[in-house]
Amino acid sequence: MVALYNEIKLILATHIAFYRRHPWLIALFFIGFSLGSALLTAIAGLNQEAKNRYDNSSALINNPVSHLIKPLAGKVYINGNIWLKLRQKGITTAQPVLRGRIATSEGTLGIQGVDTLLWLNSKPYLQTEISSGQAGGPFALSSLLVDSQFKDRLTTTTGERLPFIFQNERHQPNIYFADDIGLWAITDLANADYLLDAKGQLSFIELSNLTQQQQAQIQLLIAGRAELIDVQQQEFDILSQAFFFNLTALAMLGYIVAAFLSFNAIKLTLSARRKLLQQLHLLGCSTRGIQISLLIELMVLSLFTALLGTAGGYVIANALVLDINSTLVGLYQLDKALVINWQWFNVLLGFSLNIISLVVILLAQAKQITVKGERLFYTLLVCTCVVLIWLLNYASTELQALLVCFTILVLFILMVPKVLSALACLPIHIRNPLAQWLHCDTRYYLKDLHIAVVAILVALGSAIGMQIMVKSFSNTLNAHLEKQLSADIYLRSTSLDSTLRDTLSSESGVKLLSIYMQSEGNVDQIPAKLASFGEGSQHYQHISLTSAKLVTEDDFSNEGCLANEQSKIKFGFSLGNKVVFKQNATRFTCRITGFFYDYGNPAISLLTQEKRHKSTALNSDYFGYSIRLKVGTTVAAFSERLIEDFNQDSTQILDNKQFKRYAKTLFEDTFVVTKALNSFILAIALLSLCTSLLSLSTNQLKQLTILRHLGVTKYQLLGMKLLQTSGVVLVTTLFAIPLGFALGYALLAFVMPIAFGWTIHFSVDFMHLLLTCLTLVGVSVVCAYLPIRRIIKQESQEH
Amino acid sequence: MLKNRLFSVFVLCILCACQPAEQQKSKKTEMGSALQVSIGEPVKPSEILSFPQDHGIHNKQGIEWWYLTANLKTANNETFGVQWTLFRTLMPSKINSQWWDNNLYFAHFAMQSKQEHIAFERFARVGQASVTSSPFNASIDNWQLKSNENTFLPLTLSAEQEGYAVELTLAQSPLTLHGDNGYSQKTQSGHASYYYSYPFLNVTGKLTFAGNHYSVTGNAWYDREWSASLLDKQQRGWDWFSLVDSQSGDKKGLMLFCIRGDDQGYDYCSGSKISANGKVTQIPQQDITLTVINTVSLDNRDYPSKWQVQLANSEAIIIESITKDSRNQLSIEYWEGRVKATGGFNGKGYAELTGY
Amino acid sequence: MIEIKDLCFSRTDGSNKQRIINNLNLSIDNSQQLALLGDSGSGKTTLLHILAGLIKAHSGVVSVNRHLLSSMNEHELTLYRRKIGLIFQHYQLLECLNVKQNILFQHKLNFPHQDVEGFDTLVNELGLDGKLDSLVHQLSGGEQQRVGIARALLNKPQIILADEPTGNLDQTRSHQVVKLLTQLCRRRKINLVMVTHSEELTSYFDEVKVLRDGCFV
Repeated sequence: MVALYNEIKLILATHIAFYRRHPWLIALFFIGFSLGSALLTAIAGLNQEAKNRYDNSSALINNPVSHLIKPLAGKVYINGNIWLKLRQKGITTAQPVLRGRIATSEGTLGIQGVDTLLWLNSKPYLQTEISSGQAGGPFALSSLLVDSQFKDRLTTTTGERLPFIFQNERHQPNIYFADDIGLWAITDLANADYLLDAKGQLSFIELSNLTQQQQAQIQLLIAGRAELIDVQQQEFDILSQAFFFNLTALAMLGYIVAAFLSFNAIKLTLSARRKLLQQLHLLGCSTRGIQISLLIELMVLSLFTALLGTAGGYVIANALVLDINSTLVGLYQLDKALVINWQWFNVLLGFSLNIISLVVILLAQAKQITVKGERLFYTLLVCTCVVLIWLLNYASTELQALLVCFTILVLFILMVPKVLSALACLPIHIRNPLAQWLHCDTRYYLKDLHIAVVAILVALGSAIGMQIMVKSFSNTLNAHLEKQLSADIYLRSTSLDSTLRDTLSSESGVKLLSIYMQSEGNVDQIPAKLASFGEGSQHYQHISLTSAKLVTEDDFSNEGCLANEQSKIKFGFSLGNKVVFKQNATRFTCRITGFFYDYGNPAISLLTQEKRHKSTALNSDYFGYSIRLKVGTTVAAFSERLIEDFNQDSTQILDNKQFKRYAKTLFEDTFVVTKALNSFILAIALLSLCTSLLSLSTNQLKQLTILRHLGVTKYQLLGMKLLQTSGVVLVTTLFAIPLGFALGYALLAFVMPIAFGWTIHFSVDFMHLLLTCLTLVGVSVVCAYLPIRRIIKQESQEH
Repeated sequence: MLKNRLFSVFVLCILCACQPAEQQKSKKTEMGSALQVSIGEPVKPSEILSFPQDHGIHNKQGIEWWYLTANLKTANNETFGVQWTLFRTLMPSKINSQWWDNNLYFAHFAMQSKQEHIAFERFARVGQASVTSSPFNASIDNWQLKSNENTFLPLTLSAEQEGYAVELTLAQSPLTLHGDNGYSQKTQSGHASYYYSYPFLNVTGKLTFAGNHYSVTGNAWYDREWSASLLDKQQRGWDWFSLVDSQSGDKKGLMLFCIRGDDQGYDYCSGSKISANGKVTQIPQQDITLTVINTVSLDNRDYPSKWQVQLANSEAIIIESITKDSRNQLSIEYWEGRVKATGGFNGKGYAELTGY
Repeated sequence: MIEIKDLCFSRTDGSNKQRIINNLNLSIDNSQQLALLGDSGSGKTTLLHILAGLIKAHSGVVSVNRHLLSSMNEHELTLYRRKIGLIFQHYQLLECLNVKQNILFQHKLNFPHQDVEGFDTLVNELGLDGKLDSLVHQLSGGEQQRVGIARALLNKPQIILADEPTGNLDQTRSHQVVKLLTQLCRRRKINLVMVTHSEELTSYFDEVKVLRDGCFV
C-alpha cells in the first residue's frame, strides 16, 4: 500500500512538472471547463433562485413559504381578519403581507408591510437591547428599509430626501438604505397600512409547512373570500417555463462550445503525455499506479474547474439578474426580485458535468474509437439525418423542438470538417512553391484546427440563428404593434366613467372611443384573461386575426369569442371549441370563432364584447380608453382638450408612439440576456481558436523551421499562416451562414410556436449578418496573429 | 437566518427612538431596564377597583399583565408546573392604523416537570391579542384565558405549542386585593401598582408535556397587575413568591415580594398573608427578612435555589425551588418556577426571580 | 570563395559563458571541397550554421562569395540562404509535398518564372526517378537524403553546406551519399563544406580541417 502511495505521489509530481512546462495546456483545460460550467451554473442558478424564491418569507425569516392565501381573481386585497382568524385557529405560521406603491416626484416605490414583531422573537434580536422608546419618547415603527437601487427615486442629486406624496396627510417615514432588500421596501404592517390607507386589508398571507389537515381547515375558513395556492404553482411558474427553457438551452450550447476548448486541451495533453506515460511504465511504474494518478488528476481538475465555474457563474448571474428580473416582473408577473446566492449545488452540477464530459472525451480518444472512426462517422451521420427528418415532421414538445436545433447542429458539425478537408484536397494546379506548400499543408493544419473550426461553426451558426430569431420577432412585433396600438390617444383610467365616455364619444373630433376591460382567471388551470373593448365589432378592428380576415359581428354571435394564437398552438384549442373561463366560482363560457395574434403574451387570452362581459359577475379591471380621432383633429390639440376641458391628468394621456415604445422596451429586455450569452459563446469560440493555434503540434513548428532554412522570410511565413487561418475561418463562416439560417428557421418554425405559441415570420438583417461574419473573420485574424508570430519567433530563437 | 446587516440596522431603528442602543448589554439587566422605565401615568392610591371593568386593559398605565401560575399533579402524583402570562406594554407611535393601538402585547407560556423546563414566547399587535373585561377574555392568537360564563369564574386556559399544551378549568377562588385595596407599593421611593389575585383556583384539566398527555388537578394562582413603573433606577430586579398551603384544612396563602438593589441585596420587601376567604393581612417591610441560603449556578450566574424567610412572630420559612433551572430564556430572561415551602409555612407555589 | 577572419562565438548557459568558436580563421577557394572534422562539442556545426546565416557570430568577419554575412540583417540572411544549398542531418524535407515538389521547392523560390534545367538529369544521377510522386515518409533514409541533395543542387548554388548528412545512415550508404555528393559538386564546380565526425568519409574531400574546442588544429 505504501509502495503504491509513493508511486502515485511520484507520478503526480511528474504530471505537475509536465504542466509547469506546458502552462497553456492546463490553462486551456481550466478555461474551457470553467467557462462552460460558468454559463450553465449561471442559468441553473437563476432557475433555482426562481424556484427557491420562497425559501425566505417576505419578512426575511428563514422559514420557507409553502402556500399563499391570495385575493380572489380580480380582487386586489383580502380582509385582514382572515389572518387573525387563522392565528386564532392555531395556524401560527400565517404571516401577513401588505403591498402597495407610494410616490415621490422622481418615481414610485413599492413597499411591503410585514409583521416586524416576528423579529423580536429571533435569536439575533436577543443580542440587542430592547428599548420601548426611552424616556417616554415617540415610538418609531415608521421606518422604511429600502434597497440601495432606489436611492435616486428618494433623494435629490445633493442627497436630500424627497418627500413622499400622499393623497391624505401622512407623516413621512424614516428611510434606511441597505443592499439585497429587493423590489419591495420593508416596513411594519401598521406603517404600510397607514401609508397606503389600506384600512386593515392585506395583499396576501404567507404560510409555511401546512399539513393536509390544515390546508382543508384553511379552505373552509377562507371559502368565498380568498384562495389558497401552492407557491410552486403560481402563474409565474407556469408562464415562465418557456423563458427558462430558452435560457437553459442557450447555456447548454455555451457549455458544448466551451467543452470543445477542454477537448482540445485533453487531446493535446494526451498526445504530449503519451510518450511520458510510456516512459513511466518503462521505468517501472505499474499500470494501476498510472491509472489511479490519472484518475486523481482528473477529479482534482474537475473539482477546481467546477469551483471556478460556479464562481464565474455567480458573477455572470449577478450581471444578468437585473435584466432578467425586469423581464420576469414585466412579462411573467414575478412578484419578488431574484437575488443570486452562492449555491454549492451548482459546484456539484459543474463537477458532475465536467466528469461526464471528460469521460466522453477520453473515450473518444480510445484506440477502438479512432480505429473505427470512419464507420462511427457514417453511423452517426445517418442516425442524425433520420432523427432530423422525423423531428421535422413530428416534433410537438419543447424538448423535441430543441432537438431539431440540436440535430441540425450535429449534422453541420459532422459535415463541415469533412467538407473542409475535401476542399483542401482538391487537386488544384499551383505553380508558386509557397502556395503549393500552403495548399497541401492546409490538410494537416485543418486537423490541428478541427476543434476550433467546430467551435466557431457552432458559435457563429447559433449567433446567426439567434439574430434571425430576434430580428424576425422584432419585425413581427413591430408590425403587430403598428396595428394593435393604432389608436391615436390612450387615456389611462382605473375606473369607467360613463359620463366621460359618452361625452368623449359624442365629440366632433372623435371617430371612435373604445375601452379596455379585463378579467383574470383560468381556463383548464391555465392562466387566462378575458377582455373586451366595447360593444360592436368596430372596436375590434385593431385585432389581427390569423385568418387575415377582419373581425365582424359574427365572431361574437352565439356566445362567440376570439382566442389568441397561443391557445391554438400551445394549448391545443381549435375553432368551434367551447371554453370555460373560470374566475373563483364564476364561469364564463364561449365558443371560439377565431384566433388572433397576441405576441409577448404567454397565457391564454379571450375577447368578447362589452355587454356580455359586464353581464357576468366577473371581477374586472379597467385600464382606460383608446381614442381614434377624425382626420383634421390632431393628437396634440385633443390631448390639450382632455387636460383643459375634461380635467384629465396629463400623465395618464399617452400617444400611441409612447405606448409602442413601452411595449418594445419590455421585449427588447428579454433578448438582452440572449445577446449577452451569444456574445459570450462567440468569445469562447475565438478563445478556442487562439489556444488551438498556440498549442500547434511540434510538427507544424518543424515544417516552419524547414521553410525558414530554405529561405522563406519571416514575413512570408507570417503572411502565409495568417492567410491560411483566415481562409479556414472564412470558409467555416460561409458554412456557418446556412447553419444559422437552418437554426433560425428551426427556432421560428418549431421552438417559438411550441414553447411560446407564437407564429413569427422569417426576417433577416443581411447587413447585420454580414457585419457579424466579417467581424468574426477580422477578430480571428487578430486572434491568430499573436500565436503564429510567437511560433515563428520561437522557431527562429531555436537557432 | 436573518440577514444580520439588515437586521441590525432595521430592528434597532424600528424599536429604538433615533439612536441605536448598545448591542452587547447583558440580558440580565434587560428585564430590570425595561421595568425601570416609566411608561404611562403612575397609578393613584385613591382609586377603587371595580369589576368586571378592572379585569380588562388599563390604557393609561404602561405595564400590565394577566399572570397565571399553577402547581398540578396527576393521579400518579406526577407533578407539573405551568405558567401563562399575557403582557401589555405601552408603545406609542404616530402611526394611525387598525394594526396598532399603541400597545405591544406578548405572552409567555412555560411548563416544567421534574428538572425539565420549557418556555415559549409570542409577540402580537392589536387584533392578534385582545382583552375584554366582560365576558373576560385575554387571548393572543390561539392562547386564551377566558371566562366560561358571564361571571368571571370559572376560567378556561388553553394554550399549545410544539407538543406542549394545557386545557385547564380554573374555579372557586376568592378575590384578593394586595396592599391597600389593591394599591401595592413596590419601592421606598413610591413606585406602585394595582395588584390583585385569585390565589386559590382549583384546577382540573388536561396537559400535554413533550407530546405525552395527562389528566391533572391542582392549584393555580392568578395575578393581575398594572403600573407605570415598578423599580427605581438603581434597583436590579425582584424575588417574588406565591405560596399556597392546601394541606391544613382551609387554604391559606402567602405572597412575598422583595426588590433587590444594585448590590443584589434586598432593598425593600412587602408581603400579604391571605386567608381562605381572600382577606389580606399586609406584612410590612420591617417584618420581612429574606435570606438566600443556597444558590445554583446556571451559565456562570448564580441564582438562589433556597431561601429563608423570617416573618415577625413566626417560625422561619424555608423556600426551595423544585426545578432548579426554571429560566425562561426568552427575549427577556428571568427565572419562573415551582417552589415548596416548609417550616413556618407549608405549601407549594411559584417564585419569580428577575434581574439576575 | 569563403573567408573567415577572427571569428568568435560564445553561448551563455545560465551564468556560464562558453566559447564555442575561438578566433577562427579560414579561407576556402572556389570549387574547393572541405571536410570539417571534429568530435561533439568541437564547434563544427556552429561554424556551419554561421556560414549558412542561421546564426550570427559575435565578432569577426565572415564573407561567402563576397557576401559579408557579419553585416547582414536577418532578412538579408534569409534571402542569402535561398542562394546556397543546405543539406541537413535530419533531411529537413517538407512532409506534405512529394519528392518532386520538395526538389523543386527552393529553385522555384529563387527563380519563380524560370524553367528548370537539368531536373531529369539530376534525378537520374541520384536514382530518384520512379519516386517523384512519393511522399517523403515513404522513402528510406538514404533516399530522403538524396532528395535533400537534389534540392540543394537544383538550386545551382555556388556553395553547398552539409551538416552531417550521413548522420542517420549506415556506413555503406554514408559512403554512397558522400561519394555522390562530392562527385556532383566537383562536376558542377560548387564549393562544398561538409561537417562530419567520421574520418573515413574525409577521403573524398580536397581538404580536411580538424576542429577542436573552437579552433583548428
